[in-house]
Amino acid sequence: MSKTLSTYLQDIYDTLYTSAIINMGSYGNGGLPNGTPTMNGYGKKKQLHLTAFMRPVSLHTGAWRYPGSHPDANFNLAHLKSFIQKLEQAKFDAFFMADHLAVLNMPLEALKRSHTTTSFEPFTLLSALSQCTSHIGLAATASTTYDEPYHIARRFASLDHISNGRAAWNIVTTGNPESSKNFGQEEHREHGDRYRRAREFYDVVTGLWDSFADDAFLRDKESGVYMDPERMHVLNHKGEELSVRGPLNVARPIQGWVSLPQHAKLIMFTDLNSLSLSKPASPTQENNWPQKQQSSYSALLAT
Amino acid sequence: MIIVGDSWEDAQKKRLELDSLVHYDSAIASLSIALGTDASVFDPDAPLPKNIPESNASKTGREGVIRLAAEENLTVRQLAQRYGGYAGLAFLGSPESIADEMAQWLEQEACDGFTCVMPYLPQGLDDITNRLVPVLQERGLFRTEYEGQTLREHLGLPRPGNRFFEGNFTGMRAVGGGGQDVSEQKMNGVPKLAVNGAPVKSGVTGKPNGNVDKGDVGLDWILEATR
Repeated sequence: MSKTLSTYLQDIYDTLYTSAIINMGSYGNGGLPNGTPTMNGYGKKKQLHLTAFMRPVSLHTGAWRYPGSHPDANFNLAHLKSFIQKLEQAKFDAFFMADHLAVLNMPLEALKRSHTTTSFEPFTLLSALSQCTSHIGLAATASTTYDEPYHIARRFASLDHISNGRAAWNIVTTGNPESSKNFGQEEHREHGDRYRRAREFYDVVTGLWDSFADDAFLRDKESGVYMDPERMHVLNHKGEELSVRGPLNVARPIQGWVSLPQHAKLIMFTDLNSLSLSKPASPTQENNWPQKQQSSYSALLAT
Repeated sequence: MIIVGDSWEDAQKKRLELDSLVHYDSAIASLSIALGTDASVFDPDAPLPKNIPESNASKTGREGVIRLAAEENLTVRQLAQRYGGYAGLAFLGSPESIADEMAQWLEQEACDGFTCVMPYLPQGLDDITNRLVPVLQERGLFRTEYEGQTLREHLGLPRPGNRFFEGNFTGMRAVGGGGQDVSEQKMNGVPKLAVNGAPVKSGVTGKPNGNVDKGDVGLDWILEATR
């Protein structure tokens, strides 16, 4: 497995551990207890859910060179529009835009050949794509380590309103240690620390989404009352990691809470079967690269 | 990853072509990691040597590589390019055979859906949407129309109640038991907040009525009033 991919997947795998704790609203089985029969309550045959795991050029590191490929798709909105419209035509559940917060620190020999390290910021992209589609879900990765719950809550709530209830948050704590250097932190926070923050972060974000009752916005021209303060909740969260007063300045998402999928779990399922992927590389596995590959992105930065 | 072809052989041919586009320098490094040994010393166009030395790296990973090499009769180069490209689960085959596999996963409750990695775009995506999806639809395994509007509706998930405004809160919280539960904050009272540095006046019990001091107006006043 490539360094590119392993680091990449590490980010996603990380959500697995989050998922074990934050186990709600998953694709898993719709919240039904394990062993629920494969027929639903209406006697209808159980159907598959299909999500496209999108890297604009593909996750496969050779794909940009494949005949007929669009090597510029990372920054070509027309291609991305065409992809999502085809997926919607095929009735896919969702278009999932994975994300990084740093160019991966891989050997330059690999970096210079990789199309997977750059792409659009997901919220900007999905907001644009929401306007050329009507039903397909729009899932984005967002990090609990390098962002603030208020930012995350309002971005997803906004995307949910803009898309008429199609947003999904792939919760990650960010596995790529390089990210810390882009956010004024010398050290990537330790795993347990990141997950402690993620738990609290999740409570705060969902609490912020609940800031307004669905009927809070009266918009009554006659009385002149726009919003009923009694139908507004001020979260006033003060926890170990986070201090957020609230309320959110966005109405409750169309979905109540945006969808909270567990992509990592699905990937784990598949990978367990293939037996070809082991647990993701730890940062220390960096040293396993052959010596001649050691000149890296950070080495480049240092020169 | 899903590669649709006319047959498994056809799809495998596409995969090998795709894998061949991974540069050997990056590929061999990936294989070295997977094997836990420097694979660059092996003959790229020969089969994987026997007796690969054991290392501290994952034994399961190493065994997986060796098994894959044997199963698909891959050279060191091909094996490296697989690991340098994409080595996760892949469904390869005709639309019908891939639909069979997916149905099996669904029926055996291994999962109820797939997050699909496109091998290459746009052709690999077109093959999925134009060839595979119609077969899944014909078999009743995938929707032919969206039945709802929201993503939660597509997924069959309920809309969570609002924990602060509906009696029967159905959402779940990350922290249970003795943890921090934001809904309890309201019931048990909240700490006083400062307004522009000045402490909030205590003893306010009524609702905002326009007669309060300026310092009492606003969110902090609401917090105080809901104590």
